[in-house]
Amino acid sequence: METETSFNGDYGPRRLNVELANICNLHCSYCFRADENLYSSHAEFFPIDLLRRVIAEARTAANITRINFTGGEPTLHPKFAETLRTIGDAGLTTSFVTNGWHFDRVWPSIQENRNAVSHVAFSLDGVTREAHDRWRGKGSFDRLVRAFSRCYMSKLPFGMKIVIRRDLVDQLEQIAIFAARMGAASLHFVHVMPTSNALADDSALTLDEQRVVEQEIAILARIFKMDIGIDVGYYNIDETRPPCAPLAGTSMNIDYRGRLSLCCNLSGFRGAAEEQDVVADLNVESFASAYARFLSLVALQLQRRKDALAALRAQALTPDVYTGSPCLFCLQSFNKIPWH
Amino acid sequence: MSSDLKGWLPVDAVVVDGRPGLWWMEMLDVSLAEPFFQQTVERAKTDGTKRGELFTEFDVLLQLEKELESVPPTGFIFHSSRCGSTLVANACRAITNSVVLSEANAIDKLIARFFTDAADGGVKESVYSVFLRSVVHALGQRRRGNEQHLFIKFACTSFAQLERITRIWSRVPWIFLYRDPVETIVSNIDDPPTWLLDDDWRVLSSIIGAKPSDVAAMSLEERCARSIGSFYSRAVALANDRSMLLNYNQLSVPVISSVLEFFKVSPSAQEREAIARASGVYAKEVSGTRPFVADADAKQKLASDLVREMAGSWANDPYRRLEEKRK
Repeated sequence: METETSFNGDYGPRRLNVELANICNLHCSYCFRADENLYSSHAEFFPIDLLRRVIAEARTAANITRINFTGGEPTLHPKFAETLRTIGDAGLTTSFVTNGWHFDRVWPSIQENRNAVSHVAFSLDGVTREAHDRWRGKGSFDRLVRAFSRCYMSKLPFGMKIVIRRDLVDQLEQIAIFAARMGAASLHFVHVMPTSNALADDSALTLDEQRVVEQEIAILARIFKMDIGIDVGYYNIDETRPPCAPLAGTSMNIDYRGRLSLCCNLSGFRGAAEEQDVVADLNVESFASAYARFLSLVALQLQRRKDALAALRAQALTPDVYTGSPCLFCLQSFNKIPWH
Repeated sequence: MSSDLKGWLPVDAVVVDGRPGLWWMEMLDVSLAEPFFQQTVERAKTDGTKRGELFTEFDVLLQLEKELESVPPTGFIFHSSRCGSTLVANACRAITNSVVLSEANAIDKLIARFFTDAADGGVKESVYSVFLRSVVHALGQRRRGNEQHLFIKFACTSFAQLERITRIWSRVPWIFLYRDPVETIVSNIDDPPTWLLDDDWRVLSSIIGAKPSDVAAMSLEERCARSIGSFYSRAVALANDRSMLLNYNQLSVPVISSVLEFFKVSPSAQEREAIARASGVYAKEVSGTRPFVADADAKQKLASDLVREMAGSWANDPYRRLEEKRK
């Protein structure tokens, strides 16, 4: 999951989203990472040497200025401090998404590399201990609040990310109040990725429900100073511009194996064999040549979407959520749906 | 950021560049001595001291709530306008180590958002409720360190949001002051307050239960009569064991002292003397030197036929029911 995916008119800095680890210490049922990777595979971590080389090449080839770390859980990387140092040494900035469980442990690394870390994004599942820990395990909420306090007291900007499950729909304002009370700089909501029928039935919102929620989030965004938004993936059939940063060519994703792919939601998802979204293995190919193919795939995918929308328009049909949502459209067109 | 606001008070609720927020002023050394909070703000602006001022969004309140020590509310004063509520507020001010917030813009404008900007059950209703609690926390902060009591006198229109307010502070006792409808209307017509003249008719529209365009077309007499009638009816419906109803014609030093006791404050002999002094002067005058004159008879004599007609149509019946409830 990226840390800068809210689409509010610009696509953010040119950046790489690097999956630092394929594993996670928590097991959230709605996670769109592959179970096989997270829990069945042996742990794999992004190599530091490869990170250094890719950063150098990507700066030249794609003018990237920023690296976001994702996972799995990025703080599980055994050389987490060194990854941060690598970014600082390159004169870039970084942020990472974390569940906060290991934040105390990595806090000294963050402080040592404070110049490189622009902010931290924490995944949240509820604004009470009971609600959050129901999804993330006992003790998770307390660790998270402690992490918020560390950041706030140290003036390290931090944000919260929360998946809008059905049971959270009537708590949006409490979530915003909680985030503001904790001193968060941002609060980003994201719709559920329906990774199973059961999850879709239990937790995902219908398109109409999504729209109501999006309006409420927009209201909260006007009231609060902190940056409140909804991450891309929401229904958006505006064809005048790319619907997300990857399709605008400004955000590139590299999985824990070092493979450049179009979107972090897609790479290696649950045994998806074709992996049409994977552009290149950067272990054996330069970023420059991979990036050229990346841009070709972006153009192809944008055209696919345009054609799909045009076809529906010709039949006077309204695009359903699987076409209107850019995330679901890509997942579908890359044969990742139905979920394996 | 928020800890830097110790000693600063939110002096107004404003909208800047389309964003709702608060206007703050550095008031660490300023005593809230005037009958109305905004009079204190004006004095602070012109007393020759260079004071910081700034705008913040509401978010900062939530941080302040964690960081600033504040006096919890002791009692709330609601009223139907021009009925002695300022006298009672001034009496509260006579209590040692008390803070009296009298019709502070930051509070009453935020409450007004419940009328204008928060549909029932929507996200804004909850958010504004939390902000309201936080604004009171910020205004009630212990700036000197020895504050013990916090009394809040609301604008009369805020009484229409009593249920929301008491949902936030369910255990805080409150009083409702009111007066004979004819006398109230005459006083308001003689010197019309802003709440009766506001261009944004949504607040009165909600209170009266009429369309904003209809409110705009009403005479002042009708607008006032229907408003106070609504306040009386609300008081009849919502008065309970945590509330006290008080008619202007009851006001006396012993009665005001009983209000304080209702707020669980026992005035000392010295404080009773101060209350007596405060009761002897015209309540709303800043200098506190203009003698108070009971004017019920004069107001009755001044009442026009229209005033009596409007009172009869919209306010007399709920007033009678309120009196029955009080007795």
